[in-house]
Amino acid sequence: MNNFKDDAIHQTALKLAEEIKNLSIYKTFYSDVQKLVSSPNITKDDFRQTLQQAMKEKGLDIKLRNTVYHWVRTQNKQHKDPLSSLVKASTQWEKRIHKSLNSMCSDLETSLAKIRSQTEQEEMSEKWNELSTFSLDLSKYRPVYAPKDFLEVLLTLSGYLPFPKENEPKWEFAHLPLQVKTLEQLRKQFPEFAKGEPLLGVNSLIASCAAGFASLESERVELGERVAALGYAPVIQEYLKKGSPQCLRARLWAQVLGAEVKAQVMLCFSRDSEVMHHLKGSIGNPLIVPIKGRPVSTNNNVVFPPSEINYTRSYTTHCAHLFAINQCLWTLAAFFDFNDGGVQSCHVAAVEVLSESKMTSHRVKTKMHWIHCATPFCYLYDEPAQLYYTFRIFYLRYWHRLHFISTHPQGIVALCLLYERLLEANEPLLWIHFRNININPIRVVFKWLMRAFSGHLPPEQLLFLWDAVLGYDSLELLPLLAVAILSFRKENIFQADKRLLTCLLCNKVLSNDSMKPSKLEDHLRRCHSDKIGKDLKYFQTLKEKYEKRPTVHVNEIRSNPLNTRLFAQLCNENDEDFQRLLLHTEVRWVSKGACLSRFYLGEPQSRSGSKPALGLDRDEIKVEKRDGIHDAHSVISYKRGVENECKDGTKI
Amino acid sequence: MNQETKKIASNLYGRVYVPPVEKCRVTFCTDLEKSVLISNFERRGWSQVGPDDEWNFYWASTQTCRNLFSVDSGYRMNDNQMINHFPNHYELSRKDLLVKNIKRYRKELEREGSPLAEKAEVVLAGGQVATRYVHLDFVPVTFVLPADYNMFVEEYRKSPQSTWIMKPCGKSQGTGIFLINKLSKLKKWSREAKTPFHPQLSKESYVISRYIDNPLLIGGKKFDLRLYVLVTSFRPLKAYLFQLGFCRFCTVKYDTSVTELDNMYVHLTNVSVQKHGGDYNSLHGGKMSVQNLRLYLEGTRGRAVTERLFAAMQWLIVHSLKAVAPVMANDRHCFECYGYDIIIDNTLKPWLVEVNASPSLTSTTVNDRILKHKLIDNILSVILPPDGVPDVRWNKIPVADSLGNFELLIDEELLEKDEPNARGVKSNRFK
Repeated sequence: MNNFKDDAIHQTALKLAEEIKNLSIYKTFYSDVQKLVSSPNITKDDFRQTLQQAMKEKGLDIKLRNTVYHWVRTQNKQHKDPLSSLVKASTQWEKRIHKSLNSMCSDLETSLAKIRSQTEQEEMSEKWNELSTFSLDLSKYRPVYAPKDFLEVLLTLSGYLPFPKENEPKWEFAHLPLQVKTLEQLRKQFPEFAKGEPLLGVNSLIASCAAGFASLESERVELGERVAALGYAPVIQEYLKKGSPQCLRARLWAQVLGAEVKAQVMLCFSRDSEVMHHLKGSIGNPLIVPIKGRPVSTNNNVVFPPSEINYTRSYTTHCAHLFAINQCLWTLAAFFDFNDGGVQSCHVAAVEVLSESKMTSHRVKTKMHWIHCATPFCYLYDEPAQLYYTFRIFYLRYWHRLHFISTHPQGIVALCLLYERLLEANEPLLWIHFRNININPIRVVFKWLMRAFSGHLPPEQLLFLWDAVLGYDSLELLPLLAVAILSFRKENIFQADKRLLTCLLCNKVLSNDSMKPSKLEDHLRRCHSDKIGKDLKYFQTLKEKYEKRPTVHVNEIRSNPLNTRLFAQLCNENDEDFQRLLLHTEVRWVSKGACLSRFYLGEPQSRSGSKPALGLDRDEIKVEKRDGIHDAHSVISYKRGVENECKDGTKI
Repeated sequence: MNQETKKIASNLYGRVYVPPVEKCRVTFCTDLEKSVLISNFERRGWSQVGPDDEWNFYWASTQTCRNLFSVDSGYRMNDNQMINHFPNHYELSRKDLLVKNIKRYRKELEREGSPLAEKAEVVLAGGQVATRYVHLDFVPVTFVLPADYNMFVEEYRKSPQSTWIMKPCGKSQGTGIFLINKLSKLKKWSREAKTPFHPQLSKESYVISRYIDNPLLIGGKKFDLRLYVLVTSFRPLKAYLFQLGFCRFCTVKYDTSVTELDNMYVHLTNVSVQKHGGDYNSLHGGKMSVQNLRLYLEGTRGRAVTERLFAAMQWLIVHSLKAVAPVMANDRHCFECYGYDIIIDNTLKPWLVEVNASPSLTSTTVNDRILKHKLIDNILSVILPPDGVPDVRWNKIPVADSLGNFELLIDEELLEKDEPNARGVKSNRFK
C-alpha cells in the first residue's frame, strides 16, 4: 500500500518535472540553480544537503514551491460538463449574444474584426495612457444584455431537463441535479467564520489577543508583513482568510495569484514605441476570430462598444462611486484593446488570453462584466501593468464562472442553487414570504452574485470579501453572504408586501402604469361598462372580500415537507388540536360513508364551519370541483385548514 | 425590535437615535428652505415659525445672523435659543482675514518661543531656498491686493514664472477667480480694474496666493477635499470633524501648460463651476467619499503616509481654528459648521485653501443628499443637550453616543480637566 502511494507520488513528481520544463520561468530558474551549484557553498560530498540549504537561502526554494502551487491551480480546467442539456443552453445563450452583437455592429457600421487603420493605430499608441480624454459618441450603442436577461436564461434551465415536475413554480433551480453543500458543510469549510474568530474588517479595532499590539489591525499588519516577505503563496492564502490590511493587499494578492509583471510587458508599458513596433512584428495576426468586442452591462443599460474604451467610458459615467479611478480603468481598457486588437499589443498577454479562452465567444463573454470586477482593483494598483496582470488571473480563476452556464461546483448555476437551498433550509419563513408575494428569491440577489458584490458593497468591505474568496479559494461565500444579508434584513423584508394592481372585477393583473386615474377609468369603461353606475360602497365590499381571500392551498402545504412542518409548528403555536392538513382523498377514506350522516346530525362544529363568514370562496369551490369531492366533512376539514392559513397569512 | 436594538441599529447606520418627543416644545426658524434641514427638524418633532416669532433654533443665513447680533437690532436671545453662526465668522471665512489671522497666530507663537513656530529652510521647486514654518506651513503663501502688492512683487521675483491664483475676498463658489503667471498680466488686470467700466472691481480687494501646481492627481484629475468641521465654542475651543467628507473632482484632465491657464474646468474644483462643464456627470457629480480616498491611498501609497496625511489635515484644522479663536466673539448661543477646502499635493501634504461658513446644503447626487442629511442630523445631536431642547447653560460636552459621524478634534475644556491623559491622546493624534 505504501509502495503504491510512493509510486503515485513519484509519478506526479515526474510529471511535474516535465511540466516545469515547459514553463516560461524554467530557463531563468535553471540558470540560477546552475550559478548556485558553481558557488563555493556547495560541496561535492554532501551535494544534496548543501544545495537545498543554498536554495533556501537564496529564496529559490520558495520560488519553486510557488511555481508548483500555481501550476497545480491552473490544472484540472478541462472537465466535461455532465449535463448535456446545460451545454445546449450555454451554446444557445452564446449564439444569442453573437447575434445581438453582430446586428449592433452592422447598425454601427463597424467591423469588430477589422484591424485599426494605420493612422488610428499610431494615434492610439501615442497616447494610450491618456485615453480618458478620448471622446466618442456613445448614444448609438445599445444594450446587448443585462443581468436580468442572463437570469432569465438561467431560470429556464430546468426546461432543458427531462422531468420538470408539475404544480411547482418553474423558476426554481431545485430541479437541477447538482450537488451543493449544506450549511453544516459550509461551516466546516469556513471554520474561521463559523467560530466567530476576529476578522479584519468586521471588528478591526478590538483588542488583540497577541501581546504587544494595541488592536487586531496592528497585529495583522505586523503578521502580514512577515507573510509578504516570506512570499510563499499557500501561507499567504491562509493569511488572507482573515482579511488583509489595505496597505498590504496589493502585494499579497499579486503574490497569491502569481501575478508577476513580466519584463516584456513593462517594456510595453514604458511606451517605448520601438519595442512596441518590434513586438508587433512578432505577434502574427490573432485576428482570425470573427467577433471582437466586449459588451459590458451597467446598472440598467448595457452598452456595447467596439473598443473597450467606449465602454469604460459609459460605464464610468454610470457608476457613481468609482469614477475617480477612470484613468486607471482607461489604461486597463486600452490594454485590453491592445490585446484584442492584437495590433500594438505585447504578445505575451495576447497569446495567453487567446489560449486560455478556447472559443471566441468566451473571449466576448469573459470581458462582459469585467469592468465590475476590475474597478475594485483600482484601489490597489496605480500601475496599469500590475493591475492588468493581477486582475486577469483573478478573473480567469474566479469571476468568469459567474458569467458562464456550467455545472462547475462554483459556477453561477451551482451558486444560485446553493443560495436557494440555504435560504429554504435556514430561513424558511423568508422563503415562504417570498413565495407568497410571488417574488423569486433569486431575483433579489442575482446581481450581487453575478457581480460578486462589486458595486453593491462599499469598496472597503468588498475587498475584505474578496480576500476571503482568495483565501478559501471558493466562491461559495457569495451565496452565503447573500443569505446572511437577507436573514439580517428579515424584518424589513417581511414588511415588504408586493401587491399587484388587480382589477377586483375581472381579477386581471394590470400594469403599474395603469395606476393613473385616467387609465383606471378607461379600464372600467371598456371592460366593465355595466358597473359604471355603482357607488363606492360596492367596490369597498369587493375589496374587503378580496382581502379576506385565503392564499394558501392544501396541496401546496402538503406537497412540500417543509411547508408541512411549518404548518404543524403554526398549529402548535395556535394551540390547535390538529397538526396537519388532510388531503381530500384521505378525508374520504377516513370518513368512509359516515360523514353524510354526521353532517345531517348537525355537529355544531360543522355548522359553524360552513357559515359564509368564514369566507367560502372560489378556491374552495375550485378544489371541490377538481377533486370531485362530495364529502362534506372533507370540506369542513379543508376549511379549518384554510382558516388557519388565514391566520398564518396575517401573521406572516 | 425593541428600543435598545433600534438604538444600536440606528447607530450602525451613522444616524443618532432620537428619542421621540412627546410634546412639541421646540420651534425652529430657517432662512434656507432646504429639505435636508426641514426634514431633520421635523423628524425631531419641531415646529416651524417665522423669524419674528418665538424661535428656539434658527438656521440663518450669515446676513440674518449679523443683523440679529448688530447693535441696531437690539435683539436679545434667551437661554433656550441657538443660532448656526458666530457673529464674526468672517474672521475665518473671508480669505484675506483668514490669512491675516494665521500670520498673526504664527507671529505670536514665535514671540512666545513656542516649539510650534519652529522655522526651517526649504528648497522650493525653482531651486530657491526659503524659510518656512515647519509645523504651521499649511496655507500657500498669500498676499492681499492691493495692500501687499510690493511684498508680492518681492516674493514673485524670488521665483519668476511661477503661477499664482487671484481670488476676490468676498465672493464664493469660484466666481472671479483666475490664474496668472506673469507680472505684466497682473498689472494689466489692475489697470483694467481701475477703469470706470468696472467700478465694482476696484473697490474689492483680492488675495493672491501661490498656486499649488503639483496637486495629487487621481485618474489624471485634480481634486480637493471638502471636510465639515463643527465648532460649538471658541473659548474654550471645542471642535468636531465630520468623517464623511468628500473629494470634488475636476471634469477635465489636469494640465499645467500655459494654454490651459484660463480653462477653469482644469483648475477649479468647485461644483458650481464644474457642473457647467460638458463632461459633468450628474450621477456621481464628480464626488468621491473621503473613506474611499483613504482606501485608495492606503492601497497604493501605503499605510504610514496615509495616516500622516490625515493627521496633518486634523492638525491644520485645529490650528486654523486656534488662530482665529482670540478674535472670535464667543457667543454661547452660537455654533457653526465650517466647510474646509483642502488640497493635497503630490507629496501628500495638505494645504488649506479656504473655509466656508455656510457650506452648501444643496444636494447634487443621491449620496450627497444622504451625507448632508446625516451631517445636519449629527450637528443637531452634538449641539443639543441630551433632552433635545436648546439650552445654552449646558456644558457642551456631548456624550460619545451622540457624536454620530463626528469625531472629537479638540476640546480644550476636557484637555484642561485631565491634563496628563489628554496630552498623551493629543500627541498620538498629531505627531
